[in-house]
Amino acid sequence: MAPQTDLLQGTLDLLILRTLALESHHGWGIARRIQQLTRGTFDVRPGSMFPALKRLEEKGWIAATWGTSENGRQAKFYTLTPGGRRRLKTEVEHWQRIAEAMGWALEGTR
Amino acid sequence: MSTGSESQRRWAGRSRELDESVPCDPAKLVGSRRIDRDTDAELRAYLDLSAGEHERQGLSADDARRAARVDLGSVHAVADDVRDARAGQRLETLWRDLRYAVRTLRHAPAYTIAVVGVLALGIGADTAVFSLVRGVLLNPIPLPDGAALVRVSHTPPPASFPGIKVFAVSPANYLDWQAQNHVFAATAAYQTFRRTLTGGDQAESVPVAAVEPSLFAVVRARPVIGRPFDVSEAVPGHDQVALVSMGFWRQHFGDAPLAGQTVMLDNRRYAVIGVMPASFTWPAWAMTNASIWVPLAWDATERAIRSIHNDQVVARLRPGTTVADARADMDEISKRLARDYPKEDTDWGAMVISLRDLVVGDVRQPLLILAGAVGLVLLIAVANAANLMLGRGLGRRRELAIRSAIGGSQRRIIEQLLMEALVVAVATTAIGWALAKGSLSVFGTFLADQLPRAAEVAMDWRMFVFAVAVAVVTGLTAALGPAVAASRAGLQATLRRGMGQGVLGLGGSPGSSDSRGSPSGCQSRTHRPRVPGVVQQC
Repeated sequence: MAPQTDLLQGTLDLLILRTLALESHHGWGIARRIQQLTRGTFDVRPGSMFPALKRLEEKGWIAATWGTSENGRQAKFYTLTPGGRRRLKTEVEHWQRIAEAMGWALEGTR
Repeated sequence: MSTGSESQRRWAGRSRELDESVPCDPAKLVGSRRIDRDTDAELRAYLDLSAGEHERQGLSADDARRAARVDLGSVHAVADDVRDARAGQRLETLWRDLRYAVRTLRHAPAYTIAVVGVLALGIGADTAVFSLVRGVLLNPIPLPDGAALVRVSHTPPPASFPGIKVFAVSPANYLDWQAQNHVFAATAAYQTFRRTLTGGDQAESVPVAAVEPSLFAVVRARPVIGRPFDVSEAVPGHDQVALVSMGFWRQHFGDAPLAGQTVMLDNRRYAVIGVMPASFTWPAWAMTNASIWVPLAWDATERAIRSIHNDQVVARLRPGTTVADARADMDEISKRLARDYPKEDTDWGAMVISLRDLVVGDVRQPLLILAGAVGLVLLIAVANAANLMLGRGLGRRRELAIRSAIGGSQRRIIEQLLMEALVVAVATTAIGWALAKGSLSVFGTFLADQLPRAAEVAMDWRMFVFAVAVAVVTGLTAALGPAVAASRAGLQATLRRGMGQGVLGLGGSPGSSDSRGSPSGCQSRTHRPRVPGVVQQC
């Protein structure tokens, strides 16, 4: 079982935007996809996922439509909006700067 | 074992009707139903997908669904969080809390009436009496720097006037006092009387004060319209000028311009040269309570009169001078006058009394005792209300634990309790205010002739705010204490106690296998990372 790592709110937002940049998904699909993309490091619980989705929807970065899921049930599918795509771009740049800086700072501690 | 799987099936079946699954939190069912339905449908889809995944991994349909439930945690908690993520949510939550609080309080009328009544009485009585004390004792002179104002009067010879301590002053003695004292910044003689006002439709008796022009310097007041008296007008023949009170002006002249207005007093015509401000009308003192002021005009003969005592004297102490200083100085002058004018002034002394003491008189001590008494009444009221609230809070620990167990975060529960305390506080404040207002007007009506200035006492807002603050702080402490303690003490113990009494109604009928704490049912209902200790205990 992969360890459950605490997620910063901004990190979760970034992961959701990143997942939706590939294709539209429903909430459960996004959670599974994040798990895959992070090789099981992040297991996003519904209690974090759905409020985050609502928040991103409120900000206009993602849009929701009802569709039919793979098991034939109605599910809410989320799509990245153009605004969300721009947001993802700046977030990615921001994150890479942080990661790079943290990399420098932690170099040699191993 | 068969009952176990039966209960699981029942549990699984219930999860399809998320809306109906928890009947014991009315707040959840109110407001923004469309979005709640939306969220519920979305969570249902999540459950299906999640259960499907578990089934693919080899679980039975029932077990897969149950595992999905465990995964999701409390549906209501998640739905709550989704709601919280929406913009404008705060207001809606507040509104919901408010309605819930009002409903809760309506269902406990005895408690509500007792707490609100007790606190309102305490606040009302306290505010009324402290307003009275403040108005009568602490701030009695509505004139600038009124504490420095004193009345100077004669003390007559005890042999001729046994028992009389205060006597009017004669012009010549007053003028000597004025010339020889070292303690007064300014002095003014005045007389008050009634005159007949004629010239209108009908004759009218009005209170009049004849004052030295220096009076306006002594009391530090000026007309709002026009000018005060000039020294040249305190001379017989030049004294037919008058100042009128704002009330008199409004009543008799309305909006007319000042120029050319006159009043007829005892068939003498006076030119109105100014209007005193409404704030100058202070009913407790005859001088300020006059409708018309005219100059006090003495001719040379009158100024020399030493043995006819008709005048009152008001003076302003020099800065740094006390009443005792003034008395000592006046004693010196009186001895000198008795020596110089033995025929008129032997045994005539002088008395200096602070205007405040004169007005407040001897009601000071009873009023202070009364103030202390109602202060204690407020304390008792607050203690009683706190007792009631504490009792109610303890009685509600079970309810709070249940709400916590079905996913109410501690923050939300405390917000809800705060709202309830706020509703009580608002009701208390409104009723307390009405009580204070009512009792002050009753004081004003019935005590007017026994208590100086009772009719003029206004409600003291600072006292009211203080009393309400004391009540609210006590209420909050008493209401929140048990809630916080309950959430610390651990849900399980509280819930167990509750189940023993058959109150817990969320898991089907009380005592049925799944509400009796079968490990699975417990976990799926109380799985909630925010509630410390629950997951581990189950």
